[in-house]
Amino acid sequence: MTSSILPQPVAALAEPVAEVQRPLHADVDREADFDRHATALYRFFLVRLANDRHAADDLMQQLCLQWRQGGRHVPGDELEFWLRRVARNALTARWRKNRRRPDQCTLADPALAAELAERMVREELPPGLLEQRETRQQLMLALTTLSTADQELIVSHYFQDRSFAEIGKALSLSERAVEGRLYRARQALRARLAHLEENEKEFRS
Amino acid sequence: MNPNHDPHDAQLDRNLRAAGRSISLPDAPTAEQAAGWKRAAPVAPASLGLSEGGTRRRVWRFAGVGMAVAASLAFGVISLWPTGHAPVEAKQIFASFTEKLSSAFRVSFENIVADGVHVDGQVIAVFPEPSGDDSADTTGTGVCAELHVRGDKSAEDFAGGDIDLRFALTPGHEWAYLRLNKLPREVLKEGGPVAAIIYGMTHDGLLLKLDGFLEGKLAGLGEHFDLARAFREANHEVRHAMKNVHTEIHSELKKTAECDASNPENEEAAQIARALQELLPKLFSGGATSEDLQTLGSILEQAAGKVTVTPMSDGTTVLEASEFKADEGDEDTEMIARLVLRIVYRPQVGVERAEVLNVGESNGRVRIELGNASLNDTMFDESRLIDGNRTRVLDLGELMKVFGPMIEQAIHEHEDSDDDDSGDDDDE
Repeated sequence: MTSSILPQPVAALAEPVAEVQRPLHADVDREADFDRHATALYRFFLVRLANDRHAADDLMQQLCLQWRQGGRHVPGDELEFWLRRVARNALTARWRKNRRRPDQCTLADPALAAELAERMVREELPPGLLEQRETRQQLMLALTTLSTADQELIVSHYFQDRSFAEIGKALSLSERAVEGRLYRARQALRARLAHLEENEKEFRS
Repeated sequence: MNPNHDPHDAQLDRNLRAAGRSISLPDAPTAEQAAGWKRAAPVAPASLGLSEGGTRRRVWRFAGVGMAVAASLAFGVISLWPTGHAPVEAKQIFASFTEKLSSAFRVSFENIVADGVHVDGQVIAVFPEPSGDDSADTTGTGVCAELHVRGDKSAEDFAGGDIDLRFALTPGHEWAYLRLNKLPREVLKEGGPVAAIIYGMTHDGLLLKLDGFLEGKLAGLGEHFDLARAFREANHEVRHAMKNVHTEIHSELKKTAECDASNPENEEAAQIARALQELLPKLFSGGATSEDLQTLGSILEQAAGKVTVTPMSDGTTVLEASEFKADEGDEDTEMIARLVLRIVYRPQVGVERAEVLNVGESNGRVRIELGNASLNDTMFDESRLIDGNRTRVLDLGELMKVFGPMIEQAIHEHEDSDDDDSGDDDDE
């Protein structure tokens, strides 16, 4: 298992992602709302900025600022949608301001992604294909468009090798419920991969 | 559908399992990073109830104004006070700052505009640990910079220009990159065919590979260049230069204070200096208490109309100063008034980061991070800059192998001819 990197993503579903800094008298519940999506949003930026941590940090700061200014009033069940929209706008605004997209940024290849989505359900993918940079990029682009909950399930189970029981314990769910959710997350990932162009169109112009 | 009865899903499951084994996810944010995002939000006003106002006249003279505010405000105001009675302590304080600066730093600037020229970019440097041994490990060290410069209509000599500049130097990867997105209008008008040739060479990007050029022997010229050693020497030079800057500023400020000995304002400065003598060593060593930080906030009120000191839940304290006032007659009064200085202090570590907001004509940002800068592998990967066959790549190392001997010969002939000329003069 090569990925190690995401610390306790499952726990992140139930708790704030980290002991993040906040003013002492802030509304703790609201902070937790933001924190719940922070890792997924950060990953969204990193994947589209060729792992440039500093640029992703800047965009996360901007996102946090906008959330404090306007996002706190967004109802809880709409917050993720709101945050993702702001994140996309922030990324495109950054590229527009710099007049163009950075050379190293990851681009969607809809044809390759669609082919991958098809092959993933029909055949055993050869190891060489998974090691290709383009393949990895399309998978990462699709993964990071998933909802936080789906994304963390996929990451926990497939990238961090956590069992249904471990995930279920962290989420207070039965193993069967976890299996069902993971099934839906897989299908969502495949659908995103098959329609990557639609999800990434604003980043292609 | 039940996942157990869906053969397509079972195949998908197996492939995702294989993908999970062979694909590395991007790094997750650390708690410290997440804390940094939150700091971007406005700090709660008057959280420790510091008062506003106070005398604001002299600090600007000491601190300086302008683009150097990032460094001079963050560290100048608090560490370069004219401590005429205790130069030794001042040196110790500055040595601490120099130590941090010289090990690693990142300076980023965003939307900085001056005279119509817009600049965005960052410079990151990670130096090897100081060592007398030339063979010290230089892994993970290097310098890289990314700059995007463009000129709007009001830029005098650069109107319409748009340039990307990058360079990276680390053992094993040395290159520079230039892309002229647009030529400045003046150059277009007057440059003629030369400008057209330069534009043609660079508008799709020009990558200069320096590996063979810098590292090892410069063929024909008989020069040797050891990048690792150059980094060590650069580290030494930075330290040396910073100490010199400190000495000069310190001396200048001390002179200013002595000249005005009869001025009652000087007594006020002396009192502040005494307070800072006690405070600053603690601040830079990470030993300052919350009371010390409040004291620092009070001192900054000499220059700023509004100062807040906010303890954060991750243990850091954010000191923010704004509504600065300039000296009378200062041309930059408006710009100074907009500036916001933010210092992040962490107990046991010291000042971690300083940034100045609302800099320049477009409210840009300058940020200095000390000691904890890291280099990203992608920054050194020049292949990302090559756009198919459009980007021109020049390997200067290879070129030097071909042209080096000719250049060397030309240099020697030129030197010989100079010698002959001077000999003739002597004869005359």
